[in-house]
Amino acid sequence: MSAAVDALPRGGPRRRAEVPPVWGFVAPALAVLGVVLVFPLLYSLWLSLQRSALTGELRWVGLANFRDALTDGGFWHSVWVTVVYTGASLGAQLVLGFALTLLLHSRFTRYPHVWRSVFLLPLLLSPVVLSAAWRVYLSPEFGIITYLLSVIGVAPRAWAVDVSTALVTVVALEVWHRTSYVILLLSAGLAGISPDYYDAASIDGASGWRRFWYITLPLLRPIVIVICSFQIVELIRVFTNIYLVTGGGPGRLTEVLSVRIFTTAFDGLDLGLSAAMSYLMLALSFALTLPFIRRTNQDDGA
Amino acid sequence: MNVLFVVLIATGSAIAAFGPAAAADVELVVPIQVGPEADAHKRLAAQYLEETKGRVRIRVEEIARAVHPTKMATALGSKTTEYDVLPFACTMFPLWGAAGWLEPLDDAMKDPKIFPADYDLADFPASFINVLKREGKLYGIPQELAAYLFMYRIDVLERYGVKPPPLQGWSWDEYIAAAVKIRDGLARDGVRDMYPTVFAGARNRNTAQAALQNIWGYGGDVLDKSNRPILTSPQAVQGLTSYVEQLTKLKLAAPGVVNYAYSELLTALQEGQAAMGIQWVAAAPTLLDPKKSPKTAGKLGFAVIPYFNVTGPQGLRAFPQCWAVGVSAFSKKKPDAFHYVSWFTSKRIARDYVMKGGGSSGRRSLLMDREVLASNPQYAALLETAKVFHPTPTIPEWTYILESILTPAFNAALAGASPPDRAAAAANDEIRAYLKKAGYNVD
Repeated sequence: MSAAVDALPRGGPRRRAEVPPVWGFVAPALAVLGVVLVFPLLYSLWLSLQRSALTGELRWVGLANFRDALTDGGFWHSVWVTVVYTGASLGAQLVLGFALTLLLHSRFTRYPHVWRSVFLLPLLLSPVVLSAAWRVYLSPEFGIITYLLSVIGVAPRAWAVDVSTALVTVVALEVWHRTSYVILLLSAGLAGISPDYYDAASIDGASGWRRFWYITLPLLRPIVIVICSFQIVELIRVFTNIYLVTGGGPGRLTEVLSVRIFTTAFDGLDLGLSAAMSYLMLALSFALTLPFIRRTNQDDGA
Repeated sequence: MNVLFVVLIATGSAIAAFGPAAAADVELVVPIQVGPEADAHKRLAAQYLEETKGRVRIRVEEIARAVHPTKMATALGSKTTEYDVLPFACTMFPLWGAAGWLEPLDDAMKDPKIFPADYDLADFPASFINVLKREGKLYGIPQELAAYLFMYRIDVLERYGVKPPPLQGWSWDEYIAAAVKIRDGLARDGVRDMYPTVFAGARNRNTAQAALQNIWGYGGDVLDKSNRPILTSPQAVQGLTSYVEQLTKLKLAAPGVVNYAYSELLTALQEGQAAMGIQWVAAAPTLLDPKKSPKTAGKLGFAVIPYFNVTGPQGLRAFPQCWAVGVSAFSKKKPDAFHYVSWFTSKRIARDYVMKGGGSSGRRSLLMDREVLASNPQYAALLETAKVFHPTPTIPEWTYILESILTPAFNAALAGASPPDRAAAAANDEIRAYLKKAGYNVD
């Protein structure tokens, strides 16, 4: 037995002074977590089981709010819009994120640190500022984007309120806002790939595309899974961009779940129904991220 | 050392001269939507502080117009004691009154120290006072009467040979004919940055209110006397269709009008991007101010909104609106809040409000005053419009129906997401389900 092991105290109860004060250090954080996370979760669950009158009185109704939500066509429409918005935004962010990341890391790009900072700028902006600004930029009468598009021959259009372009517009805003987050993570992952792999592949005569497909992509898969998990959660609960740019319109074309929950709670004052819809949104978020979490666990196990 | 001493004395003097004023005994918080209504409260706050001999300070909390109803519902629903005096749109009263968010004014009105003998409640139109009553008690005083007016550029109409409308307004056919004539004239002259007309189209209550005027003008309505939804009647559908076709079929307004609410309408008229428009009377002081609106000052005419032949010029079609002031039921400073309400709506201050760009008045005597009318030509049209106000439902659920059911439905029709008849049918079904859940017999 090594000398180090021999030096360990043998048997007997540990003295109080030797017990690390773990709970003392984490108690404040746990208290904050309890107030800002646990209590609201439990309170909203309790609310979801009540029917609230316009005057604020509550009445126990059990699962009636969940039943009302699940049998409401408007709710399912919002679920559909949310899923389409999430899928389109995530797909575009991954494609654009990959393209820009590879460009940043290519030998043709000068001053990559400067460009990385430029790409990060949208992420630093407040969503409220961003959305309010884009609402003006997209105005067919006074918008800068409208003007720039007209220079290349695109006729002025009410992009944010046109039936055929409203959803595309908010997806584009989302992509513009948060692709830099994808670039950040992919850049970190790319920096972690050893150049020896690429050198060996080059020696074997692999083309750029084959190096990307057989080396870069597989090695970045864990990062991509993390990106997808986080982004899905963020995209499902999107609110600011849509509420400020389209308000959920035209009609209800861009009315995602969070906007519907908001109007139910604060225009309709139906806190019970909105709380029930919030939990259903949580279930949707969990359902969409579960495959990625399982994949991560499988990769860890492997 | 001497230099340091001088600097210290100078700094101390500056702080004393320009630093924060001595705190008042009481601070009343007034939450209000951004716009001329808020500007007046801010402007008059200094005068009230002086008249209360520095005892009561007014703090105006401005809230974006689009979120004002939601923010107030959230705050008052949680029984906040933060707010004292509550300006509110009369369309909010069915909900606010039923929810118990306002304090009755009746007892305060019996106190001559709060409401003096010459206050003259009868000077406010009975129809609006009654709107602000619930179970016999009064909960607010009209700060101003509001309505959508038909506004037109006198010079543009003249340029294209269109005779201006009478005060009682054009018929809808006359309005469309004039707009088409102006549209064709603008196209001939190669003018691309002006459209014949502008109106509300955003996913916002302004749109619901404006479109309802067409529905009422055509003889339709949202609810019958038993509160059953009737938005699918031929009259209601035709009324909505007429509103929508201005844009979708006749192309009389800019495409972006689908995203226009009060502010965008004001900008469009101010910048000369529309020859005519249907806009709230509150915009008139800004549009008539040569410093703020050089393109429209002195060139704007006003009339009642167009009528439909089926109901005629006397048909009740205008959306009745007023801004009232009341006292929060949760305020800890109710006596002072009552006094401010009485002071702000007194004849003297109401006159100041009207004469200095605050908006119209809730007092009939002021709207008929020669001096007021001379500098506010829009009030003649407002008084005429008041004759054709259409009553709105008084059930508490009306606020949600207007803001969250009619608004997206009418916006969908205007944006082309849904034909008017389907948008009306969808809204009708949603209203039925909503009222049924609230306990109404709608079958």
